[in-house]
Parts: sequence; C-alpha cells; structure tokens
Amino acid sequence: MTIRPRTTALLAAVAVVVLGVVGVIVFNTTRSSTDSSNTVTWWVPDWDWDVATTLVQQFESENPSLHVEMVKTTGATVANKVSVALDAGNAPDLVTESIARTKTYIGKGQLADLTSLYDDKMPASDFAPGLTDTLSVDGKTYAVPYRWATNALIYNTELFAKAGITTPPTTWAEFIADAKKLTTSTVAGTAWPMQGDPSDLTLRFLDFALQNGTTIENGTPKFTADSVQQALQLMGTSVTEGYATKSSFELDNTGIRDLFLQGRVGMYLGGVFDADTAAKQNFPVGTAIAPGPSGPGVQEGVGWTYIVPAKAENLDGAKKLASFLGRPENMASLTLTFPARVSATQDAKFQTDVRKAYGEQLAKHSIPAPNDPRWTAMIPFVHDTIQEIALGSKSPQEGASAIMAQAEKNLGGAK
Amino acid sequence: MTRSMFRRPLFAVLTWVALAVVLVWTLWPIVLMIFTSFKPGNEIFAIPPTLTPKHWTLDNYTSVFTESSMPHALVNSIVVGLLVAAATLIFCFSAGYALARFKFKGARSVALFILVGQLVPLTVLLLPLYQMVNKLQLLDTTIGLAFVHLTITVPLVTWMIRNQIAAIPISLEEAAEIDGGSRFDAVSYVTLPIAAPGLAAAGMFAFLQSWHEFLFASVFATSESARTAPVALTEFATEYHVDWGSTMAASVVLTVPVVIVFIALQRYLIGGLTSGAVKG
Repeated sequence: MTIRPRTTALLAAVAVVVLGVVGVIVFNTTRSSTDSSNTVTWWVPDWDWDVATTLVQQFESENPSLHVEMVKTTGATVANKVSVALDAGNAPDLVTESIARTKTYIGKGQLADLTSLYDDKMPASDFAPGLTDTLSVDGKTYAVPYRWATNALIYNTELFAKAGITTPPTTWAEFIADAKKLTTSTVAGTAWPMQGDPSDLTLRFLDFALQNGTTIENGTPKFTADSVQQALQLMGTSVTEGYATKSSFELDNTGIRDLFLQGRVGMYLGGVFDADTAAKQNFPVGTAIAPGPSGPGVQEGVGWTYIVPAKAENLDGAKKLASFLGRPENMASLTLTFPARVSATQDAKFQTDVRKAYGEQLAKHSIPAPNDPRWTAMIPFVHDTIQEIALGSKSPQEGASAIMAQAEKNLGGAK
Repeated sequence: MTRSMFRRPLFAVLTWVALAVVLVWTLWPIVLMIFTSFKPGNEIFAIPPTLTPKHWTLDNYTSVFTESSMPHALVNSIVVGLLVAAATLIFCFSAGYALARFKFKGARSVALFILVGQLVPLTVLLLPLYQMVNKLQLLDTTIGLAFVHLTITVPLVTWMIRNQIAAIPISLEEAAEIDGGSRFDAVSYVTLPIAAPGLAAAGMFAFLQSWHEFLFASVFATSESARTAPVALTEFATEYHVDWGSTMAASVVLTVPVVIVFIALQRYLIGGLTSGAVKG
C-alpha cells in the first residue's frame, strides 16, 4: 500500500516532534552527568543579586576549587519554588529563604544540620537575641540568619507640626489621638496593609496583641482573648472611624509608602527601607519606637536566612559558602535592613538618623516572629477577620471569638 | 404609540447602556495600563491623578527591553506556547479521533475520565509533575515546561476535537477509502481539512493557556534560561519597590500582541469552539 504525500508529511512532522523531545532529554542527561561536583548552586533573591555577585567573586578567589552557580529568585516565586524543590528532593546547595518558612522545612527533615558552623568566628551569641533559637530543634541549628528587621513608627514631621503635634506618640491612646488630629480631607492619620501578602497585616495585628498579653512560645503564638480583641479594636475601628484611610483595603506595604511619600498618610508602622527611601528623597520624615499600650511597644523581628537542603549535592561547599556569607562584613554588605549579627551593626550604614529608632526597637523592644507552620496556615483567616472588622461587618468582640476558636483548633488552645 | 412600541426602544436603550457600562468596566484597566506605561515615574502617583501622561515617555519600554530579562522571557513564552499548541494538537487529535470514531467498550467513560483532569487543582499536580520532569532531566527547559502545560490543555482540547470529529460524517472517510486511500489518507485528506478551523481554535486555546500560565512556569523554570514572560513580570516588583511604569509597559508587551492575534483569528476560534457543539 502506498502512502500519499500529505500523510507522509503529517507522520514526518510527528516524528520530528518526538525525536526533538527525545534529543533534548538525551542532551540534558549527558550534560547533567558531566556536571562538576565542585559547583555550589545558590538560589538568590533578585534584591540581593548585585552585592551577592561581588561576594561570590570574593568567595571563589578564596576557594579556587569551588565555583558558585547563582540562580535568581523573585519574591513572588521563591516560596513555591523552594517548597516543591525540597519536597521533590531536588534542591540546590544553598538557598536564601524567609525565616518564617524555615521551621516548616526543619519539621519535614529537609534541611542539613548547620550547628558546626557556629564556632568562635561565628558564635551564636553574636546573633540577635533569640534568633538562632527559632531556627533550632533539639539543640541543632539548621540555618544561618543574615538579615533581621522590625517595624517602627514612621511619621511626616511637617504634617505633625501642622497638626500641632510636638513629639511622636508613645502610647496607643496618643497614637489614636494624633492620628485623628492628622486626618483631613486629603490626609489620613495612618494606614494598614490590607492588600498584598496577608502576613503583612497579621504581623501588625500580632504586634499589638503581643503588647497586651499574647506571647510567642517556641515559635507558636499563645493568644489571650482580651489582647486579641484590643488589637482588633485598634486596627478595625481606625478604619471605620476614618483616621486610618479606607484605601487600606487596596494597599500593600509599598502602596502605603507611596502614599506617605505624597504626604497623604501622616504616620504608619513600617520597615526601615521605607524610612531610608524617604530620607534619600529629603522627605520630612521622622522615626520613633512603636507605641504600646502604656509605653514603648514590642515589634516582631522578621528576616531572611541561608539554608542548606539535606539532599544538597555539594554539602561541604554549601556550608563553606554559608559560613563565608555569615561573616559580619559580608552580612553588613548584603542586607538592606539590619544584619542578624550584632557585631555587623557597627557598620556606618546602620547608624543614620532615621535608623536609630529601628536599632533601639530591635535591641530593646523586639522578639522573633512566630514561625510555627500552624500559625502560617492560620494567617489568611486572621487577615480576613481583620478586614471584616474594618468593613464593619463584624465587631472586634466577634472577631476575637472567631480568632480564639481558630487558634484553639489550629494551635492547641489559648494561654 | 402603543405601549409595546414604547417599550421596545426603551429596552434597546437600556441594553446599550448596560453594554456600555460593561465595556467601560472591562476596558478601563487596560486603558489605564496603556497610559501608565507611557508616564514618567513621578506622574504615576501624582495628585490629582491624570489618565493621560503630561509628559509622554518611552523610558519604561526601554527599561523593559534593555534592563530586564523580559525579551528573553518573551521568546521563551512563544517557544513554549508553540510547543504546547503543536503537542496538544498531535495528542488531542489522536485521542479525540479515537474517541469519536472507534466504538469500544467504555469509550464514553474514558472520555469523561479525561475531563476529570480539568477538575484537579494545579497545586495538587505540582509535586508529582516536578518529580516526573526532574527524572526526565527536563527541569528548567522550555520543553519541560511545555510538557507540564499539556496537563492543562489536553483534557479540554481532547473533548473539543472529539466533538468536532463526531460532527463530520464518517461516510466522507469511507468514500476516501473506497477510492483506494488508507485510513491515514482518509484522515489527512478528508477529516483534517474539514476540522481545520476547529483545530486552529484548539491550537489557539492551547497557546493562550500556556502564554498566561504562572504557577508551573514559576516552579519548573528555575533560572532565566527557561523563564516565561508572566514570571519575568514579577522582576519589576522587588522586595520593597514596585516599578509600576515598567510593570505596565511589560504588561502591554505581554498582552497586546496576543489580543491582536486573537482579534485577527477570532472567527476561527468562535467557529471552532461551537462546531460539533450539538453532537457528542
């Protein structure tokens, strides 16, 4: 039987596609089998890329037998990418990851024990209080934290002066009173990040709850009904009463900063990068310790760390690189916020006027944020509850009851 | 003037007003995206806000094409999209033809089971697919990404093509075979040309699904070598800063070509999607 031309062409096209795929598989298999074992693969977030490139050159000149292959990650993709790679046992050698997610990986036994890296050159005591504890289980430490930060109060000095406010608020009552004074038809007293990453909003909620009875034990929040209600009251009613902008529902951290830099928000609890940005633009910015119920308020510390997957192909090379990056001078050059090691904070870039309040907040009024995966799973619920209260569809009391019930179910009960 | 005559123009006016509202609601974000992409940074958040730029600039587009990985990502998106479209048509035409033409026990059950694939959330498929692609040494390659995108396109397209083929009388293929052709010849000379508009629609559908897919692309393309445009778009939002001008310019680059292609080929898409709709 003869095959007609069009049929031949069709079958040939299918054969070409199949052969092409097989060819790529063979090529990749050959290439991966000849890969050098002296390569260390490092997944680096894009915001660290430029400085990390310089540091890698220095590392390679100190360790000529090792080559570092950098892979750029982005904030929007890193969580999924790392989680799936670790679950599949196909992770790179070193990863820059959020401290908040690290305990999940430790719990699954996916990370290498890095306790041996904490020696005289990198003593655990040189890290911010409690920081290495949050990355340790049964006396073994599974990560090297390198950057650390909290929120503090950022305010517009010109708007403060215009409203007759002479000093930044130090208590919740003063915060509310000042926010009301600042609020006009074009200016909002304050704002909350109710859009974007839900943990941005719940971080602030938990900061308020922590100041009134809630605690964090071994990375797990232990709520009290009263503190939860107070925190919800403060955040929710600020929107319903109008001294926090209603556009909070559309704002993430970056959006709040943009509004602040246009003089549309009088003050807010924000990170040091925001304060630096305002100072660089010669914006009339001031910073202060976050207000608490009756004095300086506690803020949670959050940050980033280096992790080495247990199944890393080049475990020794990855540990060498983590140790190199953990040097105070390298931490200082890489971080955009504050370094995790206290000795690294001596660098001049951490001593500017706007950073002083942050330094004090970190040193005297901060604790590590919870990193219990059960709390992470609860964050969307808490986020939605805060929104409901801000929308006026639920009272702070109802919201507190709902959060307490969820905490009872997820975290094993209140204090 | 009777009551019904009065009602008819009123109904028409209300319909047009409703359509106008829907049109504005749909197009407003696109209009905003296009105008913002031509604004300098200091105008994007200016108070009072303006729709059109006071000073038109191409800086955002320059940034997208010279300072980001977007050009390479666009090429990757096109390559992956074309691979997905081609592979989808090969696999789904074969499967759809078999389901439509061959009578075997459980044919309908098999067809329904294929559709179940469309109901499984992508996050559930993420890990097993990752392990398969990793074993095939296709991680961080455009072929690997195209392979996983098939899980999105194959179930629905198989059904689309099955229905299209079922609508073509089998007697036409039988006539070709009586004339001395093989079954393959009957398919390539008779069935394929008749089903061509439907296949074009299916191919476009597969391409578009791949073009805007984010979750798989963000995980399976570990480095920039296979990164596609929707993932590259996230590069303009770093930890503390969102470059809105460049984000909007990149979004225009990402959407406008596809919209133009869609408008040019929409009659095939509509025809293809509806052909065979009444027979299954």
